[in-house]
Amino acid sequence: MPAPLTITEFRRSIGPVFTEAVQRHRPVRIGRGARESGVLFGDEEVLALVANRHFHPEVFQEGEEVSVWLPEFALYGRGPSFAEARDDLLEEVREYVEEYLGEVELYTRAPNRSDHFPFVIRAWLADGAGELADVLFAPPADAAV
Amino acid sequence: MPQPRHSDLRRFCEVDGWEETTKARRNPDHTRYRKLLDDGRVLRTKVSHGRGSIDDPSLWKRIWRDQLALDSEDEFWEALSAKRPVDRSAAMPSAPTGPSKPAWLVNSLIFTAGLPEEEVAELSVEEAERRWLEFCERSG
Repeated sequence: MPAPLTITEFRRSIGPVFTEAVQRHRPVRIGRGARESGVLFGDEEVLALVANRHFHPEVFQEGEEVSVWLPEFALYGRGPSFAEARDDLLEEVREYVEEYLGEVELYTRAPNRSDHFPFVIRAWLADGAGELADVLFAPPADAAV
Repeated sequence: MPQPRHSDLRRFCEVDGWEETTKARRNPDHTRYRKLLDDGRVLRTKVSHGRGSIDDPSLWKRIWRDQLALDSEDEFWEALSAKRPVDRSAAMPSAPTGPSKPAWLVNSLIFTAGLPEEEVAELSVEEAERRWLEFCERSG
């Protein structure tokens, strides 16, 4: 098993290390001192790690209003149409992801939020790729297309 | 039971001691609230600035159950009428306390050494370890 790169080695060769992780798809372990270590992954590999996390939004019609509830984050969006409720939900998710990652220690320790972490990563990467709606509203794998 | 108006939800957050967060900058139509519970749970909800109500009972159920962490809808209305925060101390089972035994040891005694579970439950850690060592010696 390859030894982790030291932080000094990482600093010295950050470009090639990035290429190794992102283009050659090889995770790179980086250590600092005896106790601290981290892993550099490409987006594709992180996506593979969280690919089995699926979202199951539900739509509610309340008179003239539409709501979309996202059970994985306990969030909802509302609006006078499905499209607007969906857009509201997308903004809710973006805010939640930002808040979660901004206070990640608090959220990953919260007993009602810790299991959101892989979903947060999935939503975060999807949004960065412009695919948040596709991921949140993806049909289940066994659904007829 | 009436469906709550947005103003009821806002008043609930105030009575129940939620903090108004400043992070709802993307959506100025809502105020966002957050509450940190003693057991580490983080609760979040949002309240629309409109004067309407949450008309859909299914959505409302998800809000009081999953966002407000209430055991029943009654708790919402009781908190509003009594102007008192909800007692959530019993809402989540606390971790068991008292003496424990290593799970591998209990597992080994029951499923490898064949001791009855009731007998294992009565053993102290030291007795359990001794019984396991005796079993290992006998088994060679």
